[in-house]
Amino acid sequence: MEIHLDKPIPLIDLVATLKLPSAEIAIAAVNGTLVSLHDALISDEDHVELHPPCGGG
Amino acid sequence: MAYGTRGKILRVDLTQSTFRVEQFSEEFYRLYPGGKALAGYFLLSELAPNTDALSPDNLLVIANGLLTGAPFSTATRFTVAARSPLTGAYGESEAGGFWGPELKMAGYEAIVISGRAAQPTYISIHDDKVELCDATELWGHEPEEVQTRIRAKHGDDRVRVLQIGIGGENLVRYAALSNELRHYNGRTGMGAVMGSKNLKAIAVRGSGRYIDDSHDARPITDLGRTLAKRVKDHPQSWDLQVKGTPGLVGTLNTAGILPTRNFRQGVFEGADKLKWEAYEKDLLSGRHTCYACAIRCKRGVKVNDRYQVSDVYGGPEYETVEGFGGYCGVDDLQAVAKANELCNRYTLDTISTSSTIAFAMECFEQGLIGLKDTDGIDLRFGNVEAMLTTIDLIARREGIGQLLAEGSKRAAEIIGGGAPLFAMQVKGEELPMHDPRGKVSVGLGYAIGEHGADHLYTVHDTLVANADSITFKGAASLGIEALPARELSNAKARNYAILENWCSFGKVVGLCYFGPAPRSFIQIEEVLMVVRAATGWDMTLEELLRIGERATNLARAFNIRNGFSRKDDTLPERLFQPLENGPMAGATIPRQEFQNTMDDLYRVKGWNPATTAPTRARLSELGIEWVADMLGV
Repeated sequence: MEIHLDKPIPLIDLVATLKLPSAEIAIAAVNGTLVSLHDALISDEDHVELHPPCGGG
Repeated sequence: MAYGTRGKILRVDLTQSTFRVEQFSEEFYRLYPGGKALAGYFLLSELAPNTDALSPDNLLVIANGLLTGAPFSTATRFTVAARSPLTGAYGESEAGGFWGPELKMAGYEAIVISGRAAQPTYISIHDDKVELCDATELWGHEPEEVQTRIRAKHGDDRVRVLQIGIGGENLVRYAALSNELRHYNGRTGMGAVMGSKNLKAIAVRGSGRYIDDSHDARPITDLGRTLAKRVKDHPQSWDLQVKGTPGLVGTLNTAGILPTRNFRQGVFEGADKLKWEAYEKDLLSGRHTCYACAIRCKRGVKVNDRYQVSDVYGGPEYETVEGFGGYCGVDDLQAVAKANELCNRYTLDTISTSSTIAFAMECFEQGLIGLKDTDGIDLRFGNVEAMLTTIDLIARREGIGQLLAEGSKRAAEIIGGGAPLFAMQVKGEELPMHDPRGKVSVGLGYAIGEHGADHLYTVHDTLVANADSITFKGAASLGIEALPARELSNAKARNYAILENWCSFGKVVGLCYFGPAPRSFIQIEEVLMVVRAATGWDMTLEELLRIGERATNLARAFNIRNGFSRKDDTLPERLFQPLENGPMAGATIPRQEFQNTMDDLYRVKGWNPATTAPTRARLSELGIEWVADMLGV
């Protein structure tokens, strides 16, 4: 999914906009770097990954 | 007697070519209600210490759980156990599929096999009719042909066949068993034990039902219907259905803890080629499932391209994708599928096979073995053809395969030099594809787990790290706390012990790891409800946890009797060293914190931290004081 941003925004705002359940996101990364879901800022053209918690498989 | 059992054990003596049926009491079954608990009971009470694992004296126990065959999702599992030829410890492996439920419908809770047949043999079970059949013409043949021939002989395409391939026949120390060609008891070399007994297969047909008319079955059948609807609404079960277990590749790579090149690295540069999206595009031929399970996490694959891969043997799971993928430095998903197919045709555990090959690759690159040892095979990370050839050699015990069929620990001792540092194993069992440097409870399990390094002893930390998550809330009634994934502490030890008891309980009653919360979509209270319905017993959640704990204590006692001690409850040195790359670069298991948490864990479990033996007080609480008498504690 591609989203255009006019200015940097908190990652958690993006999660809220997309109506994603933040408690179910265990791993967040921006451009390959692990970040805190609640502290990170994201900008246009950043690559964001959000993953649920996972266990054995 | 409860729904979940007719209280019958089938005893087979292959040396004498005899069998008999034993009946156990309801009181006995309430202590040992199947699976891992029954296996632990028989192995501890009947097997002499230090029995050669590949001798006729070893016992092979195949045990259903109380709920195996109940008509709801994930109630499919059965345990195969014996003294392990890979570790010398308690050996155990669970599988799903259809074989366990079929054995239940035939009326048996377990099969206890002793001795060694004079010639290749298979056991045929059709309800009360049991036969020991000549398997001379089946020996050396691959599972598809063996299954076809056995079904033809009995004139019934619904006969379920549990069997070994040539890996088990050739006593590869990590040989597996397969059922229905797609489901595997992979770990700890139970296939080699079966091979050592000249036992090729066990064919089962049952005409019974899990539910009879003597109980109120509605709680069980209602749960079956509820789960069939809920599977798409719960994020964990839906994730498993959509992505299968290969969904883990991308997540763990992003997290920086995807085991890569023998646990040196946590990010694999070729991971995009191994992700579930690539799997769907390049390999997938169909989605499959186990008995009565709505999750459908199993995959079928078919390839007619660079490699020819049959769709008969089932597709690679996450462990296999990553084991023959990034762990061996390979980014070719078709080659991974071929490696999986070879292991399944030969019945080799894909975790130990891939891990032992990665160990050999590192030894080769470090100059500890050379071309003269490999008969000219350039066994470097990333060499696909070398990897596939080596699987073949292991199964046949030819060339370098003779050494590697012994497993990485024994191979490292034979190679010598620095090789033991490259053997990523605990108690001789190779680590699966989960890095404890990012989720420490997995490391506690690797160290303290009864059969060596495995990933299913407990719940992985990230599932219970956030108190607001569905996964944590689903398991909160167990009494756990939400703790950071990398925290090592007394609280983490307590969490570990509770969740280990819960997971162990699942292995006793025959539930798949992908069933109950917190890993998936069956609520704790629903599990309690179906156990009550299946037994008529007034069980509490505390009793369910004690069932799991009791089974773990039986296995621990088995290991104490076989000479295992505190020095065996550790991790490979590499995990105390920093990861080399990715977002977790530099992360280690802090050695002292780890030891402190292990000390806490022994105390929480009621085990002596010096000897690791269970205390008499804890064994008494668990209702198995006879084990204290046996251990002299």
